Amino acid sequence: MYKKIVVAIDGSNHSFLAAEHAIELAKLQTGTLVEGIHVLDYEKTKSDVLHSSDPIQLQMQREEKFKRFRDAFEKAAVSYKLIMKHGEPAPMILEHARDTSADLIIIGSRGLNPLQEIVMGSVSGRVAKRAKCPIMIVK
Amino acid sequence: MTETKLNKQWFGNIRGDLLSGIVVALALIPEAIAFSIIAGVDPMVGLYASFSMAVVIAIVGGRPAMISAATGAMALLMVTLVKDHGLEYLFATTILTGILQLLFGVLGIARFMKFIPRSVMVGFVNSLAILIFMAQVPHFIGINTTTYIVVGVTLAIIYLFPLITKAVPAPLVAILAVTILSVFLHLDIRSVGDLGQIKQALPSFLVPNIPLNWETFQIIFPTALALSIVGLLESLLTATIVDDMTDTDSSKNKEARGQGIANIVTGFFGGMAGCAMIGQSVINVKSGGRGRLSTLVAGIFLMFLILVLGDWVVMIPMPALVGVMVMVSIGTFDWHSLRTLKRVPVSDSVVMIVTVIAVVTTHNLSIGVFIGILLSAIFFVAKISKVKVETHTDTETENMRYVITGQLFFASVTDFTNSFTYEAAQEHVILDFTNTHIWDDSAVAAIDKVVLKFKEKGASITLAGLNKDSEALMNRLTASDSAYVNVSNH
Repeated sequence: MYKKIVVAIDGSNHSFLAAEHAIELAKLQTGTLVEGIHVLDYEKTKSDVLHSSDPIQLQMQREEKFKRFRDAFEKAAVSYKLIMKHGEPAPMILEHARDTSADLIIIGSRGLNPLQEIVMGSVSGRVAKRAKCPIMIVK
Repeated sequence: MTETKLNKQWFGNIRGDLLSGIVVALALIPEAIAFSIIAGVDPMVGLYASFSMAVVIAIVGGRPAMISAATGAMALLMVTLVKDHGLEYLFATTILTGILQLLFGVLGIARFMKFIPRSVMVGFVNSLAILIFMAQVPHFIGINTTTYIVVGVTLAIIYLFPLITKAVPAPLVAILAVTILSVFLHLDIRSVGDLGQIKQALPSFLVPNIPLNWETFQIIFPTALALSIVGLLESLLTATIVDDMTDTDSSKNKEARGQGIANIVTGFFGGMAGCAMIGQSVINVKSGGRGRLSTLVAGIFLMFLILVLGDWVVMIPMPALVGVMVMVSIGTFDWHSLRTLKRVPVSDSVVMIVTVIAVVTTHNLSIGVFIGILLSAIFFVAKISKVKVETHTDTETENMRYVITGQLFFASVTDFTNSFTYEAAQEHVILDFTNTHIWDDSAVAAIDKVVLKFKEKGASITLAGLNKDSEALMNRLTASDSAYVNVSNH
């Protein structure tokens, strides 16, 4: 029933778990597309740029985070897309899901930044609150 | 540039640019005032600079949506000049800074940026953060308890207000709240008005009132040079950050020329030298700014606010500005570099820390950058100067084959010449250069020396595996090739 699944990827183990759920669901039905979206936080851009020697190397560093996800998708032979976008995580995941008319959003219960989550609330919580489509929070 | 592209850079995102420009203008005011105070000039000098930098760079800059204004990095460099020689010399310095930057831009400085190692850039931002913080100390340490409390309240609002809404810049909310508080409670704290005046007037064109002679030039040139380098460094770093945030490219040399033009204009309109600001540019992009219009709106709206609100600006308590500057300092510091300190190569960490120490002790960012670059160059030379010589004995012919691995140049020749023992009676010796490159005359001289030593012992010598460049250098630099039996290339 889910033809297009958006899964939020931040590189954490929780997000990998989310990706595995996306893969299992996609296997149930042929023709399902999984879109892994990784939101590059604006606040981290300065540090990313400072710690890379040039834009090409920066791109490679970021691709590196995707590697185990890419491998998992390839191994499962589901059709997938990996997308990187700049912005704030929760609004960007929602925007992407809306723009691509996703049937389901899968997201890990916790991400990479525990401190921020205590203060700001988790990305998964905010996505769940405002999503216009079904959402699965993977524990 | 095609007309459509320029059109898009200006009017491709009108709604987003208008809104973000207003947000940036609001966020700029406290910073422009605080940076003026750091430089030791009237708040108007920083405000005029921020207005004029933003407006001019919107038109001539190379990176749309980047915000340029009066900055801490620049303010810190002009303190001594302002103290010793006064405002008129600062305007002249600003103009000269612009001329130098324009020149650097025309000469294509952007391509030299890649020679600045990232550890130096990290040291640059970290020391900038430390200096901005240190500049606040006299404004809040040991004044009175109220001052401490107001700084604390300001910081609390700055960091907690975004939990309620992110639509309005938190520093502005903090400033407003604290100003109102201090006016109504008649708090015993200093305000902006105690340190300078706010003129509710547009900047006007003026030629700095200084003698145009060699002595003046000697006074302003060192500061202008430092300003021009630091300004370009921060501007091009910011441009790269904005490039990445917006997934677009920009012309770095055009930006360098633009910074030059903007500083020239700023100097003639009574402003202090400025450059691009990382923090404000990030705010602009986050608030939806993408085009040149956002920068223009930021500048114009800032001036409008000063014209309308000038009377109130003088009431801003100093501790509130200190709070904003502490936030700027925290935001400027690259905290990531502390976490990676143990993971990156030791030489990188040393370069970063030495850069910071150099800046903090000299209060001059350009000196720190210079020392950092020098140090990392030395580390690099040391790293690639490792040369290895392996000995193989050919069992059939009993020839000795020395295989040299590494770069042969002035820093590695001592190790190279010391790697040979000339004692054993060797009839024929082969020096294998397949895994090496000969870079300079020191290397050629060293090879000469080794060859002669072997010849003294009565051995004949073959130089093998020289690559084309190395061989050309050898041929050019060896005056008497009598030393060589034959130079072959297999």
